[in-house]
Amino acid sequence: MEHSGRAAAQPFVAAASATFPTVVDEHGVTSDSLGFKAVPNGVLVDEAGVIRWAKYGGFSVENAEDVAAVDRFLAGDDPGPSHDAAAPYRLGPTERELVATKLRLGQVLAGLGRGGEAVAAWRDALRLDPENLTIRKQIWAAEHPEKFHPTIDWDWQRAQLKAEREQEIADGICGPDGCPVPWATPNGGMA
Amino acid sequence: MRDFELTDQAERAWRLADALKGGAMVLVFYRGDW
Repeated sequence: MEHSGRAAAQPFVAAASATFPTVVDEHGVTSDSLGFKAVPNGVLVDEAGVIRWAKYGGFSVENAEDVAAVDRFLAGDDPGPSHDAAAPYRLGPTERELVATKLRLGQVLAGLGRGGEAVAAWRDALRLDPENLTIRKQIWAAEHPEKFHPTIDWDWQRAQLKAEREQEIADGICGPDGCPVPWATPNGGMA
Repeated sequence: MRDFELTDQAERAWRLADALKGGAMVLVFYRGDW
């Protein structure tokens, strides 16, 4: 998942010394197809193309349960119950296509060196899909690269997300389910 | 799962349906610096 181009993915592929195919999804083809809004995700697909197990968000090779599910699957056994049978993507098909179009537009503009316009296009996509962390982080990475390199500033991300969501709610920018009710959300609306 | 074709970092094409001909797949979706 790399909306700013394959060149941005190359250092990570090289550092991982991966022996498996690593493909670059610049336009959100897979997130649109599977309906996920955040990474990392793990999806186990059998020879017939049927998803046998999936975990959307938080999948990790350092998680013993995730590794055990993969091991069972690769051994030909039932990987066990999925965390999520399907990613909870609530946008309609028109909204999803518009989000995808805005993402592609931003990628093209970024490739032309028009970073400000690229971010504007990504902000349009985020306005349509404000719970989409992959879009939000794409904007952060473009505007605050120092928060991602050489190390990731997770505390900054948490604080930034909280501040942005509070501002968006105050501005009336809501999710596909409408505006959140502050007193009905986890942590009293301070998530 | 819907088929898709993408390219790797060296711009070589990779299609899910072709890969599945070799057996089951573990797909991991991530972003490098997030």
